Formats: sequence, structure tokens, C-alpha cells
Amino acid sequence: MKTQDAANKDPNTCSAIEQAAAYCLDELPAADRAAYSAHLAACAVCRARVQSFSGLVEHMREQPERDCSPELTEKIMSVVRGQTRNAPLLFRRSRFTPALAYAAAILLLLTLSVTVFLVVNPPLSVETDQTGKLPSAVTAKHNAIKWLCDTQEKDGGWQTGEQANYRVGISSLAILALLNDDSPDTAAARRNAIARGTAFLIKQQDAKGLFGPKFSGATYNQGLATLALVSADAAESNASYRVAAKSGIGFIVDQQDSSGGWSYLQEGPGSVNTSASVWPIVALLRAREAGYENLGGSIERGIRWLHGTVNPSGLMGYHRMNEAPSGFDTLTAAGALCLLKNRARPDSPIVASMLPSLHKTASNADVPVDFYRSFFLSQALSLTQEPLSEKSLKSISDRILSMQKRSGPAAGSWPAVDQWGTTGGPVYATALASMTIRRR
Amino acid sequence: METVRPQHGGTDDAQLMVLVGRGDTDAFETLVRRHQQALLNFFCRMGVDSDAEDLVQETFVKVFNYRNRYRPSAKFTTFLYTVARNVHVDAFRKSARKQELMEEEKAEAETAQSHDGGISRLRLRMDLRELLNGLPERLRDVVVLGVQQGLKYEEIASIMDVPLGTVKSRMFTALERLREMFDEDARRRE
Repeated sequence: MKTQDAANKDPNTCSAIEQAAAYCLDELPAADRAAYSAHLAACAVCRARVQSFSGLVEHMREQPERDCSPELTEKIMSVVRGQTRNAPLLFRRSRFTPALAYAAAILLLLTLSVTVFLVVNPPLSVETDQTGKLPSAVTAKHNAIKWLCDTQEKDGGWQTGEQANYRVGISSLAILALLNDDSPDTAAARRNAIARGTAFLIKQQDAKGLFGPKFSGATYNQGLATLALVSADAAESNASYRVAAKSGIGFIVDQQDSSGGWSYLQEGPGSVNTSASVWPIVALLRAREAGYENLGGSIERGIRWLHGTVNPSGLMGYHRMNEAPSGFDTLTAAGALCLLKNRARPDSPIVASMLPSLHKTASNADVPVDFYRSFFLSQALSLTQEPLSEKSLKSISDRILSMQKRSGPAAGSWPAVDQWGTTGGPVYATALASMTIRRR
Repeated sequence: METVRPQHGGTDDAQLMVLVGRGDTDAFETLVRRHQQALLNFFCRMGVDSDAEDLVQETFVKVFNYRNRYRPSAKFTTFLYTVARNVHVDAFRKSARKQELMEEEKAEAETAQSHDGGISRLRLRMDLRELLNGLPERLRDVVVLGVQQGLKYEEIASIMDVPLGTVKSRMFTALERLREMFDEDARRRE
């Protein structure tokens, strides 16, 4: 190793100084690192440089990270899957795809769960169906609520999948699922879990009314947390819920774009989209139902913006009409829910144009399950109160019911197998599934 | 079986790319989920803002299209960032928005500073981005890849197609320039 020679070198430099960067970034081989460490003890020039580079490196690594928008993976995969579908036949995947293999495995597991697990496993705390038939929606819901109560964390929130930034949103879904149940068996546990859950949400709210961390996907957190608190207030008439809900509503209204829609937080008007707009609109609609005042203008602007994204075939786009990188189905179902909750009649031209797509999606068992889409479909179709909707609702409900875990430690929950499952985890899947299944 | 995706959860990147080469899109989805955030931040650090997700998408689509060029002997991140860097270069050749975005962010940061009376986080972030963008491209890329993305010198050499020694000297020069720029910036503010 070359070192500073005080006798014949500039005292402000050292021939070994270039090693400082590699030293700070741990890029020196072990022997060189040891030698340079020894050199540092004697060389003030290198020591100062290492200190300064270390501070610089640390500062650069401390910079806040930006989160991906929740749709990014699906946007990418829809392009990739579109390419493989359009590829020459020779390069297409075998018809026995992982999705089919998965469906087969689920079927096998369900069969095994009846023939083996229920015999071998000790009795569970949840109700299990020994007949092999689908459990009733009442039983399924009871077990789901029990699982949600059991998995609540000490701080009152629930866990997400891989993206902890959505903890407020996922916890809000769990609270909404608890509020959606009215079984007397679980009433005490539900009340306790709702009280702890809402306290958790209120604790996450900042002075401006925002629930949880400030990041692009906070728009989802905000809509869901506000909806949960408005719903909890409507159920229990609780002043602290109302104060937090009003503050949450204030934040939502402030974030509304001049076009009427919402974008991801801190993103410009160019990112206004239906996916980000749905939960704020649903929260405002629920608040108006519950007697919160002065929301009409904001709601109408939001609904008008949604109208502008529906094409003549009744399909709702993402940023605009005819544009849906992740598909129209979920957006159309969510949009229809907003319109129907805003008192649009099922036979109004726009809703009537959307309903065929909703029925088609509900009855299509070939598409991968999606708890998010199923939830919006079932909520929207329930509001139409039409005979055809009953058939579609049954299709959705039966499919979701068949996927509930009926044995093992996670009995009562749903596996997070859909496209949002990695982000939301089983609490996401279970909360939405429990609000989707219907009593027969 | 718990979910669809965990079947690939413990599989390493190189093995996943082998599956992708056979047309397994679920394996590719696992790779996307694993690397999309790091890639998004890579583009942000390279000065992209509102278009960053578009570039992430473009990169992954290209990686998928080039899947048969990948050799398992190479690290997947080397392959990924090589493609990403080319996507970035192409994007900025086509776009003149970079300067506009910097100006907007600078104005925003100055407003924030006047409100909180000190150097806000936004200001610091903007400073760093501005300083990084003040470096010649060959130096900035080494810093973003090595310091912020955490890649090793050997990977950077491969991505940038330069000898290892060049990466070493560029990194030193880049850190030295940044240090001087920070000092100069601090003196200006006093």
C-alpha cells in the first residue's frame, strides 16, 4: 500500500486517498481493508476523507424511498401476459398453467380437508362443516369474524401483506367487516375489536386529517379509514369517531382535483384516476347517508368525473374513457357502486349500460379470483335489487365461500391468493370476502 | 398451499429467470414484485419523477422480451440495471422535461423552506438530486448504482461496460465532487 510520505508529499493529500471511497463502501478485499485501516490511524488526510465520505454515503442512503402505486405490478403483468397470449402457438404455455394447477390443488386440498384433516386434526375453535358441502354464509362469516378478532394486534391495528404502508387501509377493512356483521354470538368480541381498531385509526391521524403515512397510496388509506370511522359513528354515535371522521373528510375534500376526481397523494392532476377516486367517493357518500353535512358539491363533482370515464358500452376507464391498463371489470363494478349509492336508478341509462358487464364478470368462473373485484360486484349488484342480480350474487358468493380455510390455525380466514394479496395479506382477503358472501 | 405466489417466494432470481425463459409468467411476477420498488427509486434518483413508473414498466417488459438473452451465470440485478440504464438513456434523449421538473421542485422546496424556517426534508432531497444531476452522467450513474442502489463495483462495471478500476476511480471522483459541492452549497447558505 502506498502511503503518505510526509517528507516529500503535499501535506493535504495522500497517494492512498483513492482507497477512501472503496473503504467506505466496503469494496476493499480483506487484506487491503486491514492495511488501509492501519494506514488511517497514521494519516489524517485519509481519515478526514473517510469521515467525510461516510457522512455523504449515509446521507444519500437515508433519503426517503418512493412507494410503487398499488396497480404497478398488475400494469406490468397485463402487458407481459398480453404478449404471451399474442405469441405464436408454439411459444404459448401449456394449457395446464400454474393457475389451473393451483385450482386443481385447491380442489384437492378441499377434498383432503374433508377426508383427512377433519379426522386427524384436533377440534377447532371455529365451526367446521363435516359434510363436505359449502358452509353456510352465516357459519363462514362467524368464523371469519372470529379470525379477524383473534388476529388483531396489540395496538388495535391489523397486519398487512408485504406493504406495511397500507396498514391503516387494511385495518379499516377489518373494522368495516366487523361492523358489517350482526351475529349476537360475536357481539362482545366485535365491539371490543371495533373500539380498539378505531382507537388505532384515530392515533394514526395527523393534524391535517391524514390517516397513516404520507405516500402515494395514502389515498386508499384515507378513504377507507374515513369510511370506517363514519360507519362506526353511524353504528354507535360516538363523538370521538365523528371528530376524526370529519377531519378525514376535510382532508379528502381538500385533495379533490379540480376535475372532480382524486389522484394518488402528492401526484399531479395527470394521475387522477377512478381507482384512487372510488374510496373517497364511497366515504363521502356514506358520510352523507349518516347525516354529515355540506358534502353535496364534492360528491357531485366526483360522480360527474366518474360519468366521464364510462364508455358507451358501460365500461369504466382508469384515467379516462376507454383506457384501463389493468382491465375494466373492477373499475366498472366500483364505479357502479358509487353511482348506485348516489341514488342512481338501476334503469338509468348509465347504470343500465354498466350492468351487463357486471353480470358477465360475476358469472365468469374462468377469471382468477379477485376479492377486491368480488366485493365491489356484490355491493353494487345488491343495490340493484333485480332478479338477475340474485343469480350473479349467488355465483360470486359460492365461489368465495369455497375458498375459505376450514381447518388449521388459519381456519375462518381466506388465503391472500389474488393479485392484491401480496400487498394486503389474509386480513385484506378475509375482510373483503366476509363482506361479499351472502346469506342464502 | 397457502397462496399462488409463495410457490416462487424462496426461489432465487436466476432460477426464476430460467422459469421465465420457459414462459412462466408467475415466476416473472415474483421478480417484478421483488425488484419494482428498488427500480422505481433508481429512476427517481436518476432525476425522473412523474414518469418513473412508466420507465419501471418499460424496463420489466424489455427484461421479459430479452429473457432468452439472460444467462444464469450473471446476477439478475446486473441484467435488470443494464436494461434500466438503457431505458433511462433513451427516455432522456426523447424528453426535455428533466430541467422543467427540477425547476418545479426547486420552487416547491423554496416555498417549503420559507414555511418551516429551516432546511426541510424536501430541500435536502432536492439538493441531493440537484447535486447528483450536476455530476457528469458517468459519475452520477456510478454513485446512484453503488451508493443508493447498493450494487457492488463488479456489477457496476458490468452494467456500464467499463473495467473495474474505472468504477473505483469514478466513484472516488464522484464522491469527491459531491463533497465539494455540498461544502460550497453550505457556504453559500451561511
